[in-house]
Amino acid sequence: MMVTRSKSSGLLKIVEERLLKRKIEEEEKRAQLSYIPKDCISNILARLPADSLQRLRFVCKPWYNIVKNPKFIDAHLQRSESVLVFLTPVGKKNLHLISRKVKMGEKERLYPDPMTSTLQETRNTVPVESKLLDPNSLPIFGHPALNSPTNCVQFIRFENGECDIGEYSLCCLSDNIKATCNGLILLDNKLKKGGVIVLNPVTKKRIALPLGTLPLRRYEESYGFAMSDVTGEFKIVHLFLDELGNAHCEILGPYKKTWRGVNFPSFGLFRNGFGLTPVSLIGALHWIPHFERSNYIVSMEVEKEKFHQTPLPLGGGFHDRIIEIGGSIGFVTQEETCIDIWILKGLFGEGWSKQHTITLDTITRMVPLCSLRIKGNIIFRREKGSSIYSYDFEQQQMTKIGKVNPSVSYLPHVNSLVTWMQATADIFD
Amino acid sequence: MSTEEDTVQEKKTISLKTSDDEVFELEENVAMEFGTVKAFFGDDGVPRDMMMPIPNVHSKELTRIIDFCTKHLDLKPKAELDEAGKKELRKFYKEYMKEDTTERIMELILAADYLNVNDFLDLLNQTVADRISNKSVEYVRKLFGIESDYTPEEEEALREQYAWAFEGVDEDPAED
Repeated sequence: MMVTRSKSSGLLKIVEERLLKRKIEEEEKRAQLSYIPKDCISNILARLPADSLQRLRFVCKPWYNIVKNPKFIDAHLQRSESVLVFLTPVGKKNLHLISRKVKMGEKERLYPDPMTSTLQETRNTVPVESKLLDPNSLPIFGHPALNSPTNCVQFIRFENGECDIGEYSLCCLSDNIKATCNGLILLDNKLKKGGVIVLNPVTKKRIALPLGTLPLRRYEESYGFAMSDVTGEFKIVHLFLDELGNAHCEILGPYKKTWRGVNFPSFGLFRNGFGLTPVSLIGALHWIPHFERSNYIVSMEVEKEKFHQTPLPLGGGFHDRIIEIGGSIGFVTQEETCIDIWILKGLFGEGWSKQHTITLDTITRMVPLCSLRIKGNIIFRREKGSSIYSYDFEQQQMTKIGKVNPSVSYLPHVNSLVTWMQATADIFD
Repeated sequence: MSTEEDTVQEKKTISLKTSDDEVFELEENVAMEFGTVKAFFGDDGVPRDMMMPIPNVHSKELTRIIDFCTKHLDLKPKAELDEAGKKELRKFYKEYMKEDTTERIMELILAADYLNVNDFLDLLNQTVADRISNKSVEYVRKLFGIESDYTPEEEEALREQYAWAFEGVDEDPAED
């Protein structure tokens, strides 16, 4: 009996030793693997979509530090593909139900509560205006904005020749996106009378800023959002008409929270209106003033705050647009079945060259929405029926990829981690 | 593993010695895909018949890297030629790492990084990125062998503050 017992305990010991050895081997292997060089980790992380980074940056503190580094954020931005950002009324969303009830009596949390849908898991939806609200200055009941429906911020992403809708888990009171730039969007601040909000829908970091001078008539103004190629700073540019119909310009930079007037040439450049949201390229903003038959564009150098007027190669039609194409200004104009794409050499006045012509099968109006900065395709919206198409330059093919809501405005955007300025107390997470 | 030592054609070869003392003879054009090798032999300098030691790379990894570079060198010029070639290259990238465990890929990353094989490193990094993009923080920690350096309180605070970021992840897959 004694012999058997010692034999079995001996066997047990061997098994234990083997298990321990294997555990040590595995740990050593893991330790070796975690010596993956920081450059490789950085390279891997830069390939992740921005929303994954928001979560995976918390794997450990070194990863957090990699992700928050401005150089990394810029490298990640350069690799990120364009999307289209838009607002959609909450009621029309078919994925999530968000209650419109406001929790009265709670001084701090005066926003609609997300409600669990029976089909989907609970979604933590962040209301943009929360934390921007000063609880002391607001009456709890009867705030007009709180009774209006909220909107969700969503985006359309284009991958592998298809498109689908992506979520930000964000809702807001604003009903239009004024402008976009490099991952930031500009919204109305419906809580404060007047006021804009700069928001990165991926990081949810937001800041409230004062509204520019109100024009005499509500729509006689234009907001542009651009980044200086010299300092990397963002600026919001506001053009508006005064009671005499003269155009003025004021700018809001990241460090001073007040608007300052800027010298604006008074050649009556915008006498018929400001047209659509200006296109922002690194270093400049470009407007086509008034839609119909405009034959020039107005550009502003962000750093020097200087304005230029550049003639268009031909008169602009109602659906013609300027969009960013590969870092340059592109002018996309359609005549019957031909869509011509012109590129402006240099930012100002070096001349246009016709880069490409797309020939359609039928005369159907195609409105250019944006170009995909990595892939190169141009996304069009068909005027009739609102299908969206992707044009591939290499294959010279226009492919239908989906359908959009004709009454919604879609702005070019990129999901990135950029921030309006270096962290301050005013920026809320 | 030795490649052709043709007596008919004089193929220029380069010799590499791995950490486990195995000697590999590679065709020169394949070996020159390794940035480290290219730098070692340079334009003049070190004669090509000298054996280069690569003490940080095991023969297992080197075999795979050689396999990738050989196939890649073959497909790349075809891809420049026509659409069919491009398709084949895309398919190659898509399928090449399919069967490998993420752990194996990380071993290859270490080797490819040491040898400076950029094309392979791009593919490896992209594969890892694709595999972790929808995964939970815990899974990624386990995968990389990283111990969280957040205290439990810090961790809880983060998960509460950024609750929206932690949602929508795939279920952690079974052990690789």
